[in-house]
Amino acid sequence: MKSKKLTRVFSQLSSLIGLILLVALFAILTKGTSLTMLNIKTVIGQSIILMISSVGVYFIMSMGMMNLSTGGIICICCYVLAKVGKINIPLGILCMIATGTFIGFLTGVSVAILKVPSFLATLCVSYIIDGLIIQLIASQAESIPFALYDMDDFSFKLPLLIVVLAVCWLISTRTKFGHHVRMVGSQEQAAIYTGISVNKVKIIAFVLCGILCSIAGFLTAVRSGTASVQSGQGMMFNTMITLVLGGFPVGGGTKSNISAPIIGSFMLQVLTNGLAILNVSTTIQEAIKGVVFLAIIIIMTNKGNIAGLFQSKNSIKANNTLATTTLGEKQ
Amino acid sequence: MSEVLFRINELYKYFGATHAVDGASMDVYPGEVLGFIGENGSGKSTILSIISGMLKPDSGTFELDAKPYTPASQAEGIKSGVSLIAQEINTLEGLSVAENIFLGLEENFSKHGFINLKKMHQMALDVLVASGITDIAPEDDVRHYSIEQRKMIELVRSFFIKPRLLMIDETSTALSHVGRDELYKLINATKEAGNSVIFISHDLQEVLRVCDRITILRDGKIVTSKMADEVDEDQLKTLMVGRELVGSFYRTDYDAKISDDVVLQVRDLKCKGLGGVSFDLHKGEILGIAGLSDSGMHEIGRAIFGIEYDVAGDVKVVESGKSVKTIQESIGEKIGYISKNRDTESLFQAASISDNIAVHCMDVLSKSIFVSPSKMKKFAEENAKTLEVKMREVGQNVSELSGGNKQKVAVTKWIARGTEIFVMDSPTRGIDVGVKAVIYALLVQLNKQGKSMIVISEELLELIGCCDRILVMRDGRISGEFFRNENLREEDIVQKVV
Repeated sequence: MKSKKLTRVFSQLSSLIGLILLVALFAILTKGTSLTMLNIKTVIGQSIILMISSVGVYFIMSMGMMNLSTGGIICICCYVLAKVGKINIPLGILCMIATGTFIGFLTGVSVAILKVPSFLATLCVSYIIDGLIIQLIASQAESIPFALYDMDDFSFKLPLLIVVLAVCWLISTRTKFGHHVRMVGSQEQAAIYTGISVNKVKIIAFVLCGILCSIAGFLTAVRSGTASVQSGQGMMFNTMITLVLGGFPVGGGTKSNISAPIIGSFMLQVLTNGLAILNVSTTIQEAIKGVVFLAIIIIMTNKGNIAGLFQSKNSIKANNTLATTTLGEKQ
Repeated sequence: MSEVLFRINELYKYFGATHAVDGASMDVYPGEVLGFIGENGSGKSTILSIISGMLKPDSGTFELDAKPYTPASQAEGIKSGVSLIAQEINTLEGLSVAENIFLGLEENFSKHGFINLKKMHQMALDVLVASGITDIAPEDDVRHYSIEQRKMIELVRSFFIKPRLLMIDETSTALSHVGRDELYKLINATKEAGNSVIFISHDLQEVLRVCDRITILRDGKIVTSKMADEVDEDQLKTLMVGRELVGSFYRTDYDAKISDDVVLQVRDLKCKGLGGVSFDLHKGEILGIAGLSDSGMHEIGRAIFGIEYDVAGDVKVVESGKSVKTIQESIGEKIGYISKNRDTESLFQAASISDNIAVHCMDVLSKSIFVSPSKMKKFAEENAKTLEVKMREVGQNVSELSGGNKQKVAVTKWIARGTEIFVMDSPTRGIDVGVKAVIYALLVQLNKQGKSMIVISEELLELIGCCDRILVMRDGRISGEFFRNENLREEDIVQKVV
C-alpha cells in the first residue's frame, strides 16, 4: 500500500523532478553558466509570457480541445496596443484586452454553438489574423508608445504574473467553472446529462483564454517595443509543448492540473536557454523541441508500455482492429 | 468426460488493490456448455477477457487440447480457436457487415494482397442466410444497424469461425426473443460439434436452461461447480451471494394506496419514435414503463428530461406549475434522470467518485461561483454512505467500480441534490441478483421517502415486482395500463407489448 502511495506521489511530481533534472543537466553542460543570477532572471523573464498564455490554453485543453490561435491573438493584441496606444495608453490597453476577449468569444461560439472542431476553428482564426496583420502592418513594424517601455521590468511583471496565476489557480480549483471544464473534457455526454451548460463552459473557457493571451500580448509588446508580423510567433506550438512538458494529460479531463503550464513553461525556457548558451542555433532548437514533444507524447499515450509497441506486427494489428467500442446509443 | 478441452491453472489478475481473479483453476470438457455465474465484480468477465487474449494475466497458465495456450492478442486467440462474444458491442463502425464478419480472416478472400470484395460479400450473404437473417445486407456499413443487429453480426461471425471454445459474455440482454433463439442455436451447434461453450448471464433461469454445468464465482475465486440438473435458482443465488437470501426479492406489499396528488403531468408528449403520450405521475408512486426496446419507452424518459430534440407536448411539474423543456429546467425542478447507458451518459468514468457526486451538486454546495474542494470531498463522503457504495475512498475512479456500485453512485448523485422525481431507464441492466435486490430495495427506500419514480425496463418481472402501476408501450403509444396486484402475470403484459 505504502509503495503504491509513493508511486502516486512520484507520478504527480514527475514533471517537477524532470525540471530539476533538466536544470542540473544544463548546469553541468554549461559549466555553471546557466545558474548565474543574471541567467536565472532571464529564464524567469522569458517564462512569464509563455506561462500566462499556456495557462489560457490549459483551460481549453482541459476540455479535450485545442487552441492553435494563441500566437495570432498575441500578435493582433500587440498591433491594437501600438495603434490605439498612440492616441491614449489606457484606452490602448483596454482595446487590446477587448480584442482578446472578442476573439475568444467568437472562437468559443463557433466551437460550442456552431460545432466547429476546436483545432479547425482556432487554426482558421489564426490564419485570418495572420492575413489581416500582414495586410495592416505590411513589412513595417508598428512601434508602441515609449511610456510603455518602462513596463518591461521585473518589479511590474512579477507581481502581474503572480496575480494572474493566483486568479487562474483560484478559478481552476475553487470555482464551479474550473470543475466543469475538467468534467466536459472527461466525458462530454455525461456532462450534458449532469446539467452542466456545456456550451456556456466552452465559451467562457475560450474567452478566458483570449483574455490571458491579450495579457501575454501586452507583455510581448512592451518587451520588443514593437508590434510586428513576428509578434507571438511560435506561441501556438510553445504553449502546447509547455503543457505536455508539465505533465498535462493529452486528452484533458479530470487529471488536468494547473501546475502543468507553470512547471512546463520553466522547463521549456530552461531547455531553450540552455541550448542557447551552448550555442545551438535557433533553427536546430526548433527541431529539438519538436523531437522532445513527440517523445513525451509517445511516452504518455503508451503509459510506459513502450516495449509493447515492438511486439510482433500481427498482434499490434490485432489490437487495433479488435478495439472494443463501448455499448452506447449510436442511432 | 475424462479428457479436458480447456484448462485454467492458478489464474491471477489484480487491478491495483482489486483482486479481480484470485487463483482460479478449472477445466472445461468437450461438448459441454459451462455457465459462469457470480455477482458483479466476481471476476467472470475478467477471466473471459484473459482467455480471449484481450487482457494479460498476472500469473497462471492455460491449456487448450492439452497444449499450452498463451494468446498475445484476441486475433491470436481466434486463430487458436478461442472466440469471445463480449458484453460490449464489438463491431467496428465504418466497416461493412461483411468486413466485420471476416475481420482478421481476410486472407480467405485475398490474392496478392488484394481482397476480392465480391467473394467476401457473397460468402457473408451465405452465412447470414444460413443463420436465417435476411434483414442485414453484407455491403452496408454496420453503423446503420441497431445494437441487436450488430450483436447478430457477431454471432454470425462466431458461426463462421467455428471456435473450439466459444465464450459468450452477457449477450442475451441485448437480444430480443428471435436473437436469443439464434444465440441458443449457435450454442447447440458448437456443442454438437464437440466443442465447448462458456456462457455468462445474469438471468439465472436462462443459465439453468442453457448450461450443462454451472460454475459459481465469488470475489475472484471459484466457489464450486454444479451440474445444472442438480440445482435450482435459489440455491444458485445463495451460492453466489455467499449467504442465505432472506425473504423476497421484490416488494411484498400489495395494499399500498397511490396518493391522489399528481406531481408530474405529461400531456401529448411527442418526438421521434414517440407518438403522443399522456399520463400523470402521482406522489410516492413507482410507475413502470414496459415495452420492447423500440416501442418508444426509452424516448419517454429522454423526452421528459429534455434530452430529445423536437419534443412537442407538455411536461408539467405540478408543485411549481412550471413546464420543463431543457435538461437544466428539469434538474431545477428536481427531476433526475438515470440513463440506461450508465458508462457513457450517467457517470464520468475517468473521474473520482467524489467528483461524480459533488460536481453534480455544485449549486447545492454553494450559491456563489466559488466552491471549496474540501467541502466537495466531505459532501461526497457523506452521500456515498447513504447507499453504501463499496469503495476504498471517494478519490477512487468510478471506472474501477463494478456495475452495481456504479449504479449506486449514479443514483447517489441525484439523491444528494434532493431530487424528488426520478426517471430511471433500465436501472438493473447488466447488474446481477445480489445487487439487483439492492436496487429494488433502493426503489422502495426512495419510495418511502415520498419520492416519485418512473422506472423504464424491458424486464417485465421486475416491473411487476416493484411498480405500483405499469404503462405498456407499443409503437410509440401507451397500449395498456396495469395496477399492482398479486395476480398480475408476465403473460398479461406481453399481450399488450406485441
